Amino acid sequence: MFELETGVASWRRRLERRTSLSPRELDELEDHLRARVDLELELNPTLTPYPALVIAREGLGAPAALAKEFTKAGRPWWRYLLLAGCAMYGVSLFLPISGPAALQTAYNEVPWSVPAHEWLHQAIVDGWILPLIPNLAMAMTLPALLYSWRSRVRWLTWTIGAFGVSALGFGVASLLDGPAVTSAGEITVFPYLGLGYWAWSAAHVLVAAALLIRSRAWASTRSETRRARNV
Amino acid sequence: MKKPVYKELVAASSRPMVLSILSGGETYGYEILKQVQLLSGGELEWSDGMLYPVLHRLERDGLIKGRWQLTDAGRRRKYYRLTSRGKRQLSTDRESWRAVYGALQMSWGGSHV
Repeated sequence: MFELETGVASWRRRLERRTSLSPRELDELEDHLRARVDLELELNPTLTPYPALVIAREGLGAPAALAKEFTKAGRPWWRYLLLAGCAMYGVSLFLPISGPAALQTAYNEVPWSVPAHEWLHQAIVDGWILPLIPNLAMAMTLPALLYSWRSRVRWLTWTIGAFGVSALGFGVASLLDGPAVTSAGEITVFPYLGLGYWAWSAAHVLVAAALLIRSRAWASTRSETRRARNV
Repeated sequence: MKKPVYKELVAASSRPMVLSILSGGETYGYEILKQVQLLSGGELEWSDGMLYPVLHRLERDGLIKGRWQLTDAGRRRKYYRLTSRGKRQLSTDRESWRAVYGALQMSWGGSHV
């Protein structure tokens, strides 16, 4: 015996897998599908649920065609945030972290004024772990989204977000403070941060925001599924 | 049998059509499709799948606003209504379509099409 609920659920799963429609968009299409099934059953009392579902499904069209229509209407805006963040991150690696007037501090041996990717390379060689964490997290973002690793996306969001916000905060604080000079004449804060530093920090904030919006959408599907099971 | 209206024209008229239907009050996707069919006597062929992207684009542009509501059957359904920006857009669209229609009518010698 064909169960309408199972049929609708598997249609929805297929659509979810094959398109990048949001849970909200899927909800709306599912409501439409059900309304169409009801109408078909009403119009033709001899019809059983299965052919009614087939008619309704065909009315909405194949997943690929449906996704194309949605793409024409515009993509979810977290994708733009993600794209902007990734692009900015890529560019930031080729910009200097600090301006030429910068500071020589406790990390005297670190070449602050070279492009970030050289600096990062130096950090790896020196075994300095801290700057690697956000960069590794950034590298993991795309596979995590692609394969829908939801729990990983959650901690990536917090790691990337925390580094981005602290880096921006640090940058702003150092701008407000201005250069601080010790009695020995050494500059101890980072007064002249380069474009690379700002782009790098902002890229993290953008990517974290994109991930946050994406995982919120997942969270809403989860709670809806739970609610549907309880009914 | 008459030929159905061609695709590009259907697409071009989708915005004023949705806005006009919503100017009659809040409603949801499936009802809108039924209205289009009724108003056009079945001559405007809107596929089910094409409507929702149109609705979402209009919502993103701030012309309509959607809200979720529970139906009697306990299903969640999205209802749309016209915003004030949507009303302004509708009157602009109406002028444009009248201009097109008027010009065509004149070129056809004033005969009613």
